[in-house]
Amino acid sequence: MEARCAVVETWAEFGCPSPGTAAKVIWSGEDVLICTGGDEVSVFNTQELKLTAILQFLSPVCHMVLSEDKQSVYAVCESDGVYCVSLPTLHPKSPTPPADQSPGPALIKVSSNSLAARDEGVCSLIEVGGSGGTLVTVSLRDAAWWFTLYKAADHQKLTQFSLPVVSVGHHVESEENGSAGLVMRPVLACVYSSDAPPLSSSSSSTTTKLPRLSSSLGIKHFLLEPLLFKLLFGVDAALINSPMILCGLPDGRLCSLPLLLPGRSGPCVRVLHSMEQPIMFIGTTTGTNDGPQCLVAVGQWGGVVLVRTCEGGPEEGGKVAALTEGCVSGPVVCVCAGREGLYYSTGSDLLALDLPGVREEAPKPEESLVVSHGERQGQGQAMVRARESATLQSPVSLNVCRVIALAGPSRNASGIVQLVALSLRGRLQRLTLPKGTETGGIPRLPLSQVGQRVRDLLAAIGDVCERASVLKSTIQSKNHSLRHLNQVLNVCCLLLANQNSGEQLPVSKKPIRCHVVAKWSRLLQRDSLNLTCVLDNSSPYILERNWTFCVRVLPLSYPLPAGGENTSQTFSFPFQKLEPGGRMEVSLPLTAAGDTSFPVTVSCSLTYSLQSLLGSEELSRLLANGEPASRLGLEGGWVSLPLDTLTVDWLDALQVTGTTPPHRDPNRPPISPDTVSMDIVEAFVSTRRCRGSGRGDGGGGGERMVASDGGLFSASIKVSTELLRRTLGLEPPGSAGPSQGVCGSVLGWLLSQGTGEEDWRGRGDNGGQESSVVYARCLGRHTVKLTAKEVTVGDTSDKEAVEVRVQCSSMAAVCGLHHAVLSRVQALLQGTASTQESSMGVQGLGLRQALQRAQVLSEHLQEARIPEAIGLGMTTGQTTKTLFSVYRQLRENPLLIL
Amino acid sequence: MSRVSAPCLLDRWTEENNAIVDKWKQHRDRGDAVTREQGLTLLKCCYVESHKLLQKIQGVLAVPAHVQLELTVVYNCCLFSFSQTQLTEAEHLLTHSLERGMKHVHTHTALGAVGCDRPPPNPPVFWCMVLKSLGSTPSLRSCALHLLCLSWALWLSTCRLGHIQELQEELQSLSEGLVAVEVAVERSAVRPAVLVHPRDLKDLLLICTVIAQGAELLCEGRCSEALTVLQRDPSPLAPRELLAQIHTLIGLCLSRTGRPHSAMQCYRKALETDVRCVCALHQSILVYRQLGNTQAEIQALRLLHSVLMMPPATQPAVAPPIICPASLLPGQSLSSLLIVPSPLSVLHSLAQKCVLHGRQGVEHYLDLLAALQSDHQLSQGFSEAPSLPRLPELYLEAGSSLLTAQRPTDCLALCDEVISTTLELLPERLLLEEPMEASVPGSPDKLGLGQDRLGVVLWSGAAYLLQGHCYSHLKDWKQAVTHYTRCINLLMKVSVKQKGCVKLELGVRTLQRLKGMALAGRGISFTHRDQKRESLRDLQLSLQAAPGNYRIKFAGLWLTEVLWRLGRRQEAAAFWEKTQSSSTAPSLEGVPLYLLDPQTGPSLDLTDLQRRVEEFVNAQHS
Repeated sequence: MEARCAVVETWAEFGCPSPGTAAKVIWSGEDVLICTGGDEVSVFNTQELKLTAILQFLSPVCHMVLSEDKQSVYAVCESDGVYCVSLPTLHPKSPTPPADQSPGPALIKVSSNSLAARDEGVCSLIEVGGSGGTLVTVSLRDAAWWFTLYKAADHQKLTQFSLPVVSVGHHVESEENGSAGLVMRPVLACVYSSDAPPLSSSSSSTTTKLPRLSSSLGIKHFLLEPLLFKLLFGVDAALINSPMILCGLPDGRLCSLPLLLPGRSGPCVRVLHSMEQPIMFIGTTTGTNDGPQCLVAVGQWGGVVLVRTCEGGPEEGGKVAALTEGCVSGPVVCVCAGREGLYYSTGSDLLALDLPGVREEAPKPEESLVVSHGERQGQGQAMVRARESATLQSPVSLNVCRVIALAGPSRNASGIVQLVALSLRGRLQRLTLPKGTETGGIPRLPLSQVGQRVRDLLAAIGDVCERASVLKSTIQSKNHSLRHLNQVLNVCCLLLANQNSGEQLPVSKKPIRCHVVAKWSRLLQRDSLNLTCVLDNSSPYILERNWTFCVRVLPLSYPLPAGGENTSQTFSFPFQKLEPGGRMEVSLPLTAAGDTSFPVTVSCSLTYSLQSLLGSEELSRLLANGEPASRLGLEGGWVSLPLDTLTVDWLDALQVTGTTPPHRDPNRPPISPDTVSMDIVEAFVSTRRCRGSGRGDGGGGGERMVASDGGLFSASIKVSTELLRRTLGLEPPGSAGPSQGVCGSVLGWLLSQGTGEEDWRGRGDNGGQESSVVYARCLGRHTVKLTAKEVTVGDTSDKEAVEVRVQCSSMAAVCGLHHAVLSRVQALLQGTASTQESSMGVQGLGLRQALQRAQVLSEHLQEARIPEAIGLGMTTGQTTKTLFSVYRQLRENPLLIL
Repeated sequence: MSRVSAPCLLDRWTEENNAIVDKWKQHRDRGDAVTREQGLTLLKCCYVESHKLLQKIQGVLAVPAHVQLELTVVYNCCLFSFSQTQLTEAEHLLTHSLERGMKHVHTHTALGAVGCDRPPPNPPVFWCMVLKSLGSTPSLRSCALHLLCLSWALWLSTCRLGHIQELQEELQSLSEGLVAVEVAVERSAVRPAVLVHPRDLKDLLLICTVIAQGAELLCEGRCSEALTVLQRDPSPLAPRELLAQIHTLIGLCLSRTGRPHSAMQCYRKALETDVRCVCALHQSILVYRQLGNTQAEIQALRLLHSVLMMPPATQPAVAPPIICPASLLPGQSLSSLLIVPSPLSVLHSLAQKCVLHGRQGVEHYLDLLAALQSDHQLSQGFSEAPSLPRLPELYLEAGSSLLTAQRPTDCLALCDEVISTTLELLPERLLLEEPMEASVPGSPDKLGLGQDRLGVVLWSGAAYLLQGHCYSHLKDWKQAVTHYTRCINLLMKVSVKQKGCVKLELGVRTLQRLKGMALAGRGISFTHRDQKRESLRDLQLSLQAAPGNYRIKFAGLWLTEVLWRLGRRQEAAAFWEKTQSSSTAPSLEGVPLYLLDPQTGPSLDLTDLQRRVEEFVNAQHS
């Protein structure tokens, strides 16, 4: 069984109600009237939470009810009869002395003047129609139940009806039942047809229209569906809108008495049904699905009778009143009716029972419902008969025990249901029921307010939704940032660890590595050199957005610019998403045609902008908040991780054309006239630029000199064959016959990073064995001839060496290439620095010559510098010429590199 | 100590008693100076005070000097209790005090303490004992006689006439005893006052006893015995209302023994004695009805209604007497004899009589409906006389009277109300088995309408019929046909399964009559719409539906006319003959007012028809 806990709040304590008397609680507006069986009735104010008045009667009060207009209370005293006390007299507003801040409860002695009807036998009563209405009392006298009608105004007896008592043994039974030995009283309720106009009080026009809702607190007046009203009480009562008095007798009979029906033949008091157990409660309810009001009665031993309208049988059709009997576990001590169900106390627990609403199908004649919650009483299985649809739901426990009197319920604006209860110990408690106890616990609103309410609710839902989505996005962006940060840190650690520990880590083993290839491409009749950088990501991390791949190109040697500014260029490529194992290839224009001074250093790095840690939205929000970006430490907040530094030199920029001089090819004029002219112009321009500005004349002279030299400039490098063999891993000469491999291999090695090597290799095989020649176009579109030839160095001992000669018409190209070859060889030598010693003697072979040459050159140099030093005579042209020849001399006769 | 204080206390108590009595008497004699409410309050106050005094007196051991005072106080006290209808309290007080007094007498005079411990359960025996033990002392004897009067009153008001019968002799001797005692008591100087003089009380009790006994005998059917009891010479000083009651009861005896005219004399005498004796008026109405004097009956009804509608007799400003005759005569038999119908049912009878006898009853019906709708009827008092018909029938009667008074639109509205009320309750089908089994009274009714199921159909059907009448009155034949058809369709839902040949129940008879009326009405409407075939069919069906005594007379005449118009003159003439030969007027006993032949609507020139038919027959013969 479903259980919910009601919140119990104890308001006040009264003495223990003496057993055998009926405790009673009436809740009317702000006042709660409590009667515990003594001769006092306490009035408790729910607003101030204190006792405001005590009514003292002459004898013990055994029953009390509120008048329909709630202006007076009727109390039945054991030995006197019915007293009527006007309620407004209990609130003397003005005469209360204001100085007395907390006046105690006013003790009001009810004198015999207030006696409304002297009848010792009155068991129960009800008042209908306010002060102009009727008072109906029920008393047991002479083996009959007497229904006596009094005028409410002056308590004049109008008439009385009787109904013979059927069984007198019920008192004994109830005592056997042991439920505190309560004296059973008849239960009275007044039922109106819900379409009847309110009963206007005839005598006094001052009485306002009475609140005629069953939900109105404190009074037992109910509305009934008009059809059911007609079916139960006849057409006559419906025609004149007579209120019906319903009486549940302790012998279980449910009787009805029309209040406004004179002269009706037959007995006025009609027995509608017999429950065969003392009736504890009569009321109406709409049921859970908010249908028309139906009649409900509850017996002391848990019997529940529900009278509803439903379709008649197939024989007659039409509508009939159907009676559904159910059972909940008793004993029922007290009951009060909610809108859709009942609240009842068994003494050990307070339960809420939802009643079903309308039913469409015809009732089975033998149908009756038994629903019990036997597990509470430990009696085992619930006795539910097979054919019963679960019309009575099982009650919901509210977990409040020892309630002996209930009043209410009231429902506040937020739909919370509250009851007022009196416990066995005499505690006055307010029970706040959990929401949803009464299903569909939406407060009743007038239709006009429903729309407004719905709009409000929707707006509230919208607000909450908006707030939730904002929070969600914030959390998401934070997560996002954290993930990014984590990833950035991971990448940083990875790369920095590489730098620290394994500086010598081979390129191929670096987790993130890049290599650079220079490639010529021809576009729109122009050749351009493009640098292609390939980044390999073999790390386990994804390089996502916000990472940038930066390539910085810096000429190794550059002319001092006029402004002194750095001539480096930085290219950055943002990543889209580079998965582990993926590669990114970027290409950047290195030069259009030789306007860059080679060699250049290419530094690759990964950068990360801290700014991008924050999402763009968050950033904009922060900025919008007025936080300057600098405060956030975002400006210039970069993480830069160097990857690799590479050099691109003249060799890399060579464009191999073949092993034969290009101009011999008849099909392809090597240098078309315009190209040539272009070449010349460009060379001119570039040379001038290289030489720097401000020396225009001299530059021109130099160039002319180059041109006028009639031939080619050349430079050569000699490298020991043995060294080459060793370092390049070539075969020894004798082993595999022809040793053509050395020269070819050397050229191949030198050009391996250049372009067009495949072409060259294809033809190179056909070339001479002892020497290899490669023609290539270099920057500035000069044709370069690279020759590798085996020579023997030294006079005495054969020392084989390979001479690499660079010949070109451009001095700059020769210089650049020479430098490039040298740096290659240097790098080669670095790798094999600690190799075994060769014969040291060999080295001496050319030393003398070399020294001599150097001496000569030194003299040349001195000669060239003297005039300048002394500041006279020689033109710059002459000086340059001299220096140039010295340079050439130096390049022509190199030392052998071992 | 007690000896010293006793006389002093005695005086004080006597004074106290006298003060209470004086207070009451002064108030009673002051007349209109006080309201009734104040009187009641004073009475209550005196009641409480005297009880307190008695408690004080009885708190002390009984002394001979006290006994007389004590018993007098008891007498007053009991009277006050009586006025507050605390009969059991009074009786208890009485018995207790007498026992106390007897015990005292016995201890002091040592007159044999025979069985005084417990009073015999039988009051007459007990009283015999009391009178025997207290009778010796004159002062005590007078007190005992006072209390005997009181006891008598208690017996009367609790309908224990048997005890009175048994103590007949003692009670008879009361008057002499009281006179004798008075002389004896006169001598004592300080005399505790009594609230009501026992002699007055005795007179009242005597006449009340006569009335109660007479009523009892009358109810048992022993009219002649009752007559002898009632015709005992009553005290002329008795209240007039009681005298009027005696006259009425005598009248009842006479009328039950078949002497209505003598009865009328008695009723007249009763009314002469007390104008407010409405039951005499009511009974005379019944006699007029029995005698068939409608004129007088209507007049009497009108008078009765106006008397009943009068504001209740201006209560004497003084408090009600300590003992009012009504409280002494609570018997069921008397109230059943003197019952008067409620004003509403009188009004209904009046209206019905007027309508039936060609007077204008509409206004009475409208008054009745207005009274029913208001809740003033609550204050008009209830009566158990069942004389108002069911409310839908009342509505229909009012409707038919409205139609008679040429107010068809009002009638339509009234019928609409009946239809709308009953509409939801109409069964799809209804099978009646004749004879219907009577429901056992007292047993729980079957939930729902039960017996009303046929009623709902009949009321609804009759409402449609009246609406049909209204439309034919307005000469809206199309609407008339519609409403008659609705009525017929509704009645077709009821099927009667007849078992054997027993007299038909009223409901079934009404059903047949209603069906016949509706068919006839539709037939006549068809005639006016010139649909002669349909008309002929409906009129013939109508005659079949309501056969025998319940036949609808005008249907036969219209059938003749239709046949004539159709050119079937032979048949028309034959039918005319048949109609004329069955000269016995159809008995309309038990037929509701609204199912009588309509007074308005399409008329048929009977003389013209008769002339035509007779000419035709003569021509045939010749």
